[in-house]
Amino acid sequence: MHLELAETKMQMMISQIRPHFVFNTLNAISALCLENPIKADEAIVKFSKYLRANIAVMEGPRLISFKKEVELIENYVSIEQMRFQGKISIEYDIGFTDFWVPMLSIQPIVENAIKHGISKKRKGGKVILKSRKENGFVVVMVKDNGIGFNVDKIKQKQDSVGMHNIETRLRISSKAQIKIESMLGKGTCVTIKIPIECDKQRRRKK
Amino acid sequence: MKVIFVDDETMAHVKFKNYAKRSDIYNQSDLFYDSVEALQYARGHDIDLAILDIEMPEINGIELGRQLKQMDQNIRLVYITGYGDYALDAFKVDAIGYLVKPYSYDEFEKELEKAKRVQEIPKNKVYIQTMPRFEVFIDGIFRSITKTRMNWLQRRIRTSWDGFMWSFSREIITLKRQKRHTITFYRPTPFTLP
Repeated sequence: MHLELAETKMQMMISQIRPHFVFNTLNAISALCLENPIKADEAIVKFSKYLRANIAVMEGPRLISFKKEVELIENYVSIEQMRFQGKISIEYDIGFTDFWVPMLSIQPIVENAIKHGISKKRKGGKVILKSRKENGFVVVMVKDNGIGFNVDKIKQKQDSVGMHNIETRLRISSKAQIKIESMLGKGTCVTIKIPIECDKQRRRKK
Repeated sequence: MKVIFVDDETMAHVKFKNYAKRSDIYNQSDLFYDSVEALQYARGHDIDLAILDIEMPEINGIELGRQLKQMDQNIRLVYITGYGDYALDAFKVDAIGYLVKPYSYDEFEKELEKAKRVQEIPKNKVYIQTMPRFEVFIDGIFRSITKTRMNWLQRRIRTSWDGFMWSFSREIITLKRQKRHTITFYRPTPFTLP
């Protein structure tokens, strides 16, 4: 009960839809309405999917299969690719999918990689999403070759609140450990380690 | 009216192009994906209106606006941004307009009209205004001049142009500055400020 309460609180904090993303996407859709209605239609469907997931998280915490989370990531990334054509690429290196994660816990990490990492580079960049099974752990990795940041400095910034929330959520629900490494000018790598035992218990409870 | 548009998003360009064609400014517009390109262009070209996104890589729109204004204070700035707690920053760099995405054609057109209305500030020129007060502007900035210098100028103007009623006309005359203290009228003889 106590855990659930804590989780709900975190959920409320995390599910902040980024207004900047919302309005830029709407602007892109309005451009498509003028030039290419079929693509506009596709974009509205994608954007609705994004909104639906974010609203669902607001209504309460939930676990989803990693596969489903990857679908949400693909959907989100395709919207960003529409906004910045040719600037954003993503590589999926999914070696293991048989585990559960809090809904929209990995997607915001990819969103950070794009928003703060590669879209800040003039020529853009690439995100790699990896998942592996490694001696009793699931390892999920989000790696980008964006502008990077100073790990110590970012902790004082407001933007890191979002990251802190994701960390707390993954820790509470999956006993996950998170490691953030970043180098200015090189990029950022976020590694999430989830113990498999814990994942199984969680699923049995469900 | 020469226009530049700077935004790092492809779709923002698509929308601008559409509206620019509709308002008949597309032929006078140049579009850029980042501030560095835009600044390079600005060094070699005259610009009347710069329509800028704010969140851009390396040099953001506010900084870009500041640098453009430094190059040529005649450039009018209009910002288009996705989400706005930037309005204050925009007005600090003397922006004449601010649009939030997604913006409508009407809103866009209004900003264009405003840009056309705002009077062009003369650049690299000396303006002498003879009415209602005798005032001298260099590069659009008011310069206070000494009584002696003012008398000299007034005398000079009167004697150089017989028949012109400078001191009584409401006309603003344009001078071309050559060196720091040498100014020439467009017409007749050159003269030097004492």
